[in-house]
Formats: sequence, C-alpha cells, structure tokens
Amino acid sequence: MKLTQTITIFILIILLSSCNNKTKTTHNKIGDVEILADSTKTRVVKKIFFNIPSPIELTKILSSVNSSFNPYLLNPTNKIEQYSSSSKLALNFGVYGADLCYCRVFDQLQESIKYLSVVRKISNSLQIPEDKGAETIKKIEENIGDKDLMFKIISDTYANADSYLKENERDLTATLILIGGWVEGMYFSVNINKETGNKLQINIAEQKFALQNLMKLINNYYDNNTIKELTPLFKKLNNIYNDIEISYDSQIVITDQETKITTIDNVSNVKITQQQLDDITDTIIKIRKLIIN
Amino acid sequence: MKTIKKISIFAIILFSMQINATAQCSSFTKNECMPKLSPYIYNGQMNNAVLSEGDIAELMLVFYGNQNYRIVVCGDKNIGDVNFKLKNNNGKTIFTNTDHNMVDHWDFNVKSTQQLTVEVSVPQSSSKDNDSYKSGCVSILVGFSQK
Repeated sequence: MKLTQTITIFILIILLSSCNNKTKTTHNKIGDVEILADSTKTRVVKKIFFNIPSPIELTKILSSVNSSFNPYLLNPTNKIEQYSSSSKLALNFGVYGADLCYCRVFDQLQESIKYLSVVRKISNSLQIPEDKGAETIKKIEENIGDKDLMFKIISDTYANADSYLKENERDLTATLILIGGWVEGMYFSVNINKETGNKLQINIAEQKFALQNLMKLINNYYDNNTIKELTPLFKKLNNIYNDIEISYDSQIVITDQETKITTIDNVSNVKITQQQLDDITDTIIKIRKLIIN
Repeated sequence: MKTIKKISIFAIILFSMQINATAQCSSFTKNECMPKLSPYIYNGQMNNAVLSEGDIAELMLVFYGNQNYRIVVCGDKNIGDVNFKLKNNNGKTIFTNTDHNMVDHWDFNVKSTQQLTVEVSVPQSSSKDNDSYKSGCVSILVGFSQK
C-alpha cells in the first residue's frame, strides 16, 4: 500500500510539473522558435512562424507565361504504390498536390480529379481524417465545369491536412508536405522557364525568400533521416541563392481607407545569371528525383 | 487514500486541459478566424498559439508581386484586441492596426515580390490585481487572390 501511494504521488508530481513548464523549457516545433525569458523578468515569449508559398500560388504564376500543359512534367499517379514510409508519403502528398494545382491551372479537369483521388488516398494512408465537409469525387465530377470549386477543394485539402497534423503534433509530416509541394512547384517553374526562353527567371530568383523560410523549417528536423538525405542538396541550392542579388528602390506605402487596402509600391532589382539558373534547375531536378523515387 | 484519489483526479484534469488547449486553439481558428479570409484563398498553413499578455508572435511570409493578400489576426476574447503590424525587410512598420480601430484583418497588395513580417502582440492590461496573466489563442491566417 505504501509503495502504491509512493508511486501515485511520484506520477502526480510528474503530471503537475509538465503543466508548468512554459517558462522553463525551450522546444522547436514546425516553423516556430520559442525564446523564453527568465520567468522572474518580463514574460515575453516570441514565437516565429515561417510560411512557404502554397502550390496554388506557385502554379498560378505559371499561367502568366505562354506555355502549354505538359503531362510529362507530372509525377505519374501509379508511383503511389512505391511509397510506403510516412516520410515518402508526406513528401509526395506535397508533390501530387502541386501536380493537382498544375492540372487545374491548365484547365485539365479530368486529370485534376485523378490527382485529387491520389492526394486523398495518400491522406488516408497518412491517417489524416477527411474533412466532414469535403466534396465527394462524384459531386466534383458532376460539377466539373466549376473551376473555382476545384481551387477551393485544393485549398481545403491542404488546410485540413495542415491543421490536423499540427493539432496532433505531427509537425514533421506537415513540413515534409510543404517541402514536396514547393519542390514540385519549382520543378514546373524551371522546366517552363527553359521552354519559354527564361521568361520565369525573375520568379525563380524571387524564390530566394521562400527557400530561406524553408531552410528554417528544415533545420528544425536536422536529425531526421529523410531530412538528412535531402539536406546536402538543399544546402547547395541555398548557396546558389545566396549569391543572387535582390534589392529595392525606395518604397511608397499607400493605404486606402475606403477599400481598406494597403499598397506597397517599390521596384525590385534582381540579378541572376544564366549559370545560376542552370545550377538551380539542375539541383531542383536532383531533389525532385530523390523525393519521387 | 481519499486524499490521493482527489489529487489524482485533479492532476488528470489539469493534464487533459493542456492537451485540449492545442485542439481548442485549432477549433477557435477554424470557427472564428477562417471565415474572415473569404473571398481570399487560404494559403493552407495554420499559424496559431496560446499567447499571454505582453507576448509577441511573428510570421515570416513572402508576398508575391501583383497579388492581393489578406492578413487575418484574431485573438480569444479573453485577451482583448490583438495588435498587429506589417514590417518590411528593414524592420520598418508599413502598417499597424492600431491606426485603424484595432481591425482584425486587412488587405495588402505588393508591386514587387518581397519578404515581409507580420508581428502580433497581446497588449498588457493596465490593471493588475495579482501576478496572473490572461492568455488565449491567437491566430495569424493568410489568404491570397490574383488581380
């Protein structure tokens, strides 16, 4: 009886102390860094989030140049059978999600439905429950002419996965999805850039900022095996981007009180060489190969 | 034995509350904050945390040229109106909601792609009866559209 009492008290002490650790411990979660001040001084906790452009944003940029849909750029849907580990599944959730966006941007609606099915299948394999409000494939097919519906569905799919994973402290999985999506978006960009005679070179250069944010997220998981495998190539990519110069002329900020829109007007000066473009293209292709194979 | 039972139940309740805090914050974000993004497309990345008075959170985000963005910053009623600012790469404040009746969302358009920072802070209440600090869920959401 005494032993039982002692064990119970010990467990209670552990439980109670874990509820009061806010000012004593530091930890890194997805996209945030907690810098905790001494609890005897002012309680200032700084939490930093790093967001990456969504595949919807990235692929929308592609429609600004004159290029046509190229199905050979997509990761074949039958490759899903090869992906068994949660890391591979998460990375390729991101890849297929970007493929879905690419199909949608080029109005390939039947292909979009095919890729949406694959994304949902991976979501299932990752044990991410489907959102209760999610449209059924059948309903989407019935409304295939509604292009905006597809964008909404893509956005909801990503949002549902991200929030579920973060709620359940599966931040690494959420990060891998972001990595996969960004790399695939870049893969489209570098290929279309080549095809159109460098019409996307400025957009590619401007991914410098997104990559900086992505590196912060990657560094949170430096001891994970999948991240370890990808890190050398990401570091190489980061080194290339470090030499790309982006500067701005003076900034004018105008706030319209009626429309409640603030416009930030400045001109950017981007310097990227052909060699840098080629190196970025080459590195992105290698990273993508690691992810999808 | 009765005392140990009572303490055990209390400890279990306390522990469960902490786990629930994350889920409640997500629930708050989905129900109270996400609707404010409409008609912008949500960027799919949930940025939320339980913050206390005086705490600061930041979101580093790329704004692409010729796209419109909506930033939604909402906080639990418990902590009152939350301050948010948009700062450029040099740390200069471009926008602050304190100049606009503490609105919880604002739209932005950038001519050139750049990295900006959304800084969110929970104001400290003026009166302090004791050393306790109010805390609550704070969310920063981003939506975009194309011109």
